[in-house]
Amino acid sequence: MPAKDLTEVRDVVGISLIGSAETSVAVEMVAEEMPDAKITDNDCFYKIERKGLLTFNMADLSERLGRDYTVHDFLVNMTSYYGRIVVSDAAVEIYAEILPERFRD
Amino acid sequence: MAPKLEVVHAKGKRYDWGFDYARPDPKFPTRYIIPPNGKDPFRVMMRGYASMETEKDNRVYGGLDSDVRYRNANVAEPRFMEAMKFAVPAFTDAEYQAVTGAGFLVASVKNQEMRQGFAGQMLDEVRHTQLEMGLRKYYLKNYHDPAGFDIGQIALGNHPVGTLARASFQPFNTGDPVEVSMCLNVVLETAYTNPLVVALPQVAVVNGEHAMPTSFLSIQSDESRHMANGYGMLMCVVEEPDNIPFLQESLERHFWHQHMSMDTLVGVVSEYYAVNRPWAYKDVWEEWVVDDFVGSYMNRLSSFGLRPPDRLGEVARFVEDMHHSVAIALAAIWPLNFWRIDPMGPADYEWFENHYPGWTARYGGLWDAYRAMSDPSSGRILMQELPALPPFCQVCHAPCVMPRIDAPETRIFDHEGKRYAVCSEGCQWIFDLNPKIYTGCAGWWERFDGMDLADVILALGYVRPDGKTLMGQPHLNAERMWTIDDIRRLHYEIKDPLRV
Repeated sequence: MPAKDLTEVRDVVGISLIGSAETSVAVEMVAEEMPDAKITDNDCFYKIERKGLLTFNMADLSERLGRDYTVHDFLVNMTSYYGRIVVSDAAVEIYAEILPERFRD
Repeated sequence: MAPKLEVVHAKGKRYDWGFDYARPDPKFPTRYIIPPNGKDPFRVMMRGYASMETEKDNRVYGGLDSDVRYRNANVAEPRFMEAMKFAVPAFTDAEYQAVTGAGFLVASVKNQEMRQGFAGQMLDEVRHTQLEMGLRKYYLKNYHDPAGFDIGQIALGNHPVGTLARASFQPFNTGDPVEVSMCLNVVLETAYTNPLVVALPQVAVVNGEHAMPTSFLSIQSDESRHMANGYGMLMCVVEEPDNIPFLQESLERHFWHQHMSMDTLVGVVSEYYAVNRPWAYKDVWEEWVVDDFVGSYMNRLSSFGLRPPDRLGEVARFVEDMHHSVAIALAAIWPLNFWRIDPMGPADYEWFENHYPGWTARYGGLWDAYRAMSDPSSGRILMQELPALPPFCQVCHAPCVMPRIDAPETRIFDHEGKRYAVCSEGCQWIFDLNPKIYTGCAGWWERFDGMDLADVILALGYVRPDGKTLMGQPHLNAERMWTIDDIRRLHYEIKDPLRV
């Protein structure tokens, strides 16, 4: 039997990004801007986890890449996530709360 | 400059269509109240979808070109490549069932935003089927021992444990539409595609196989949207209190069933078909299923009256052992396989004992026997040494060796004058919910009862192009392969354990 508590309510969200040149830039951005995030290198993908919220701003990533980088470009590299995701033109956000604002009405 | 996604998506919802032009499909009515609200977290629109998927495909096929260029198929560990002969067709079975499942959901949900999400999913599932066929063609043309890749889908459908895939994935398009989404989007895609399609590619990489990770990780990038479709559906129906008991039952049923098939498949492939193991499956299960799915998702639904599956503790108990039992069961019936199984050796024994204390005492002797009988000159196969063949579960189709082959929790019972077996209390509970779902297909041993093993192999088509060498082999050597004549000399008759 696992030692862990199966009833724990976790406040952590995560994203898995396929290894690529763009992902390397995204990982660098997380390391610099979200130092509390946990980044795991899994040989062919990175898993990034953080308490509460993960935000990937497309303007920031475009600046770092030196070219336009849209949310659909980002989603090419996003292999998985957990938490509640909200996709807009500007950003990909993943919330720990079960019902972020976009889903409340 | 193109208008913002949020603006176009909101505008697009105004162009909804009703069901007045055609009767809704009456085949599978719902017992749920489905409110008209509901959100697609990804705001799927075809303009972004098409460009995104084109880029994904270009990257996958570019990766395959690179693998062909550098002859990577034969750099990979053959032990791992053999697993792809059954694992990829099993996955394709899921995609095919999901194509029709997503179409069924498009027709069932009266909410334009969610329908758009399901429409994207339906196209995705077709894409995945094509990608997997491309991957299989790559293996067939480039791997040095392609026998089994050539008949993968047919072979899987005929295999005694291969029907596990059909049993697991048929609920993707059969039954109440909300429960289709619970099974497909919430349980399989949110909880279980992560170990299968994200974690397992890491095993491929450390065993030198690069084509599978390139394809699977791209496939999973679509599955992310399917998880969101499940979230949209769940948050829509969970607001109606009358739906809660149905949702709870559905979650319980599909979580147990998907656990039986997915924990078996990923556990067996990641540990018994790998030379290099980056992790133990029980740890991966705790990470992706317990932490990410249950802890960060299911356990957050208590305010709506929904609780995590009651059998979660039982699942944790099974995950410690079940894949070890199925791995040796598959080895024991190796002449009935369409792939080869490398015997475990000293380095494997050490790894298993370190990660699963007690493994050697429980399984080591069986692997010793399997290895000792791997050469045709032994004139013996492990099947002959078993006191009886294990029946297959009438619900999940796994061999009834669960969770431990030395202490199975099999239940044998009669229903309407016919004898059945299930592997566990969980599968018994599922059977009893609706026996009609599970009594339509004959038991696998029953079909071949009384036949010589050699004739069964010929009937299944598991023979190489020379007409005599078996596809399945109990080793990876190029020489000393078993033939149909070796098997016929055994005079082994199949005996249905439920008849005996």
